[in-house]
Amino acid sequence: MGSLYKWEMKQTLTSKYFWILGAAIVTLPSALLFLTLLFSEGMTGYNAFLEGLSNYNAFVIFLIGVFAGIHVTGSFESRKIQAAVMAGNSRFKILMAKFLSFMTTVAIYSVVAIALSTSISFTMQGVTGLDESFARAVIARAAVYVVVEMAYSALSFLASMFIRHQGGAIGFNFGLMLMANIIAQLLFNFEWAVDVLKFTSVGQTMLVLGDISNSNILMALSASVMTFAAVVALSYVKFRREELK
Amino acid sequence: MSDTILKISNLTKTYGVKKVLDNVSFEIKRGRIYGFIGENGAGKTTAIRAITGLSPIDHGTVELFGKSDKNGLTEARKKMGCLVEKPILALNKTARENLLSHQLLYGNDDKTKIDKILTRVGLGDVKNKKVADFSLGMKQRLGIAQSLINNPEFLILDEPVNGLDPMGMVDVRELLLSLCRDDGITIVISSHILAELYQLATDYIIISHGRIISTLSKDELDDLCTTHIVMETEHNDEAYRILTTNGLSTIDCDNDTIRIYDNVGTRDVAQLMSDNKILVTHLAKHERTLEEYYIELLGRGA
Repeated sequence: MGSLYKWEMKQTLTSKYFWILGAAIVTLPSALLFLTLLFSEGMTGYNAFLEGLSNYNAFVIFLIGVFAGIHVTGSFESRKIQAAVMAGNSRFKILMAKFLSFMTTVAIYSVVAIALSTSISFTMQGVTGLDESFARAVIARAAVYVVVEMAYSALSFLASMFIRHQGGAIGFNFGLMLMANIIAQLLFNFEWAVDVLKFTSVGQTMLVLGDISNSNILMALSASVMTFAAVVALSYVKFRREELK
Repeated sequence: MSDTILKISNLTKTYGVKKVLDNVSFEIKRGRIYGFIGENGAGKTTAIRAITGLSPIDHGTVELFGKSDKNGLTEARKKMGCLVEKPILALNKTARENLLSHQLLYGNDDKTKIDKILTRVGLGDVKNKKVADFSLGMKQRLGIAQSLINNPEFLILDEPVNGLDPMGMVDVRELLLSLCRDDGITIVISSHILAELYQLATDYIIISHGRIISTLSKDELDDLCTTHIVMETEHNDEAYRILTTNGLSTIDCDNDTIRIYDNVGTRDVAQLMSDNKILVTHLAKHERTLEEYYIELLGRGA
């Protein structure tokens, strides 16, 4: 399992798409935030930080689906998964290595992008507007946000496992991520729906921005873990007896 | 150590309504080279894909190194090297980088043997060249190098000489013969190039329309392919008389040539003529080629 993960990460880190998409997903939200802060007046550092998180989520919708499409379907199309099977690795381990490498990449993107936008926020606007401690309002929120973004991104991993065509997977992922976000935003207008959305990763990408209480941290992490488990389980059901061309 | 490396029993595979493999059974014995022969769509690649784990099977069992359960089979595949359909290569990487990456699939990152393997397959001089710049033959050889990365006891090669020029074929043939002879690696090769297989294989498995129609050794094949002996002498009439008086009965004789259809060796015939002081000017076994035998077999099977 360790060597499979190493194999996956080595391929990922030496691929062009990792660096090109990474550059886009790290710099574009911060560039947008920078421009917003240049032309806005009176925004506190804390509000700028929250704006940075929202910007990042918007770019995740656009770009993570592309990454997932290439990372997952690309491995099937280039027959690298087939090579791993023929080398005597169990399909579950292959799937887990693929999933973990995807999650590691999303975590790297998220940490770097959020660290950059957070630095810009507090450098340009000062450490202002905090109603809680910096550790909870910023560091804990950013950490939980990374986890829920990873869980949200896992949806595109799942979709890519079911769609074997790279272009189709990228298109579907974009639609899926966008629709999930739009539906969640619309449902937030209904009080009953919030009780449901807090159990979902997509709902938590919005809730965490306003609620960083211990109970919501626990809820966000639980929802993320459940999403990870569901994505792995459903992906395995698809992959375990799949005909590999 | 068991003599049987692979045992396929009643393997059946269906795609939709089409039965691609129909109760296929055969065994692969240690230390031999098997030619796996069949027409396009006969089921060769499907059988290989089932053995390598790429294709789930509907019925039957695959027993590899004595293991037939799911986990045991997966583990046993670590002792097997494969080249199925075409090499799985990253074109933007060098030959060396491809092998280093492939090695990780076996949980190994020993860099020292990479150069040895590349030299063995004749790619030592181009190990740092991007695979995108390789010829088809070089890619095939790199594919074979990949299949050797885990020191396999058993190699399965699907069309390994595809696209190779005659010299490339000779090189690959010599390499495979040496792997079997010097390293004791058991090899299964599927190929359409029957003349090449005849020079390489010690055994043949012939499949058609999803069914095994013949399994035979090279000696058995040679026996089956020998149809008659052709002899020319300075005194054909006398030679004919000697042959018939010595118990041979199925003989054609004309002015120029004698054809002996009895089950007798050329050496025996030559000895007989020598004993009777008849000068033999031409003596040869007339044999069918593997290709002719295969076509005839398929004609019968169809």
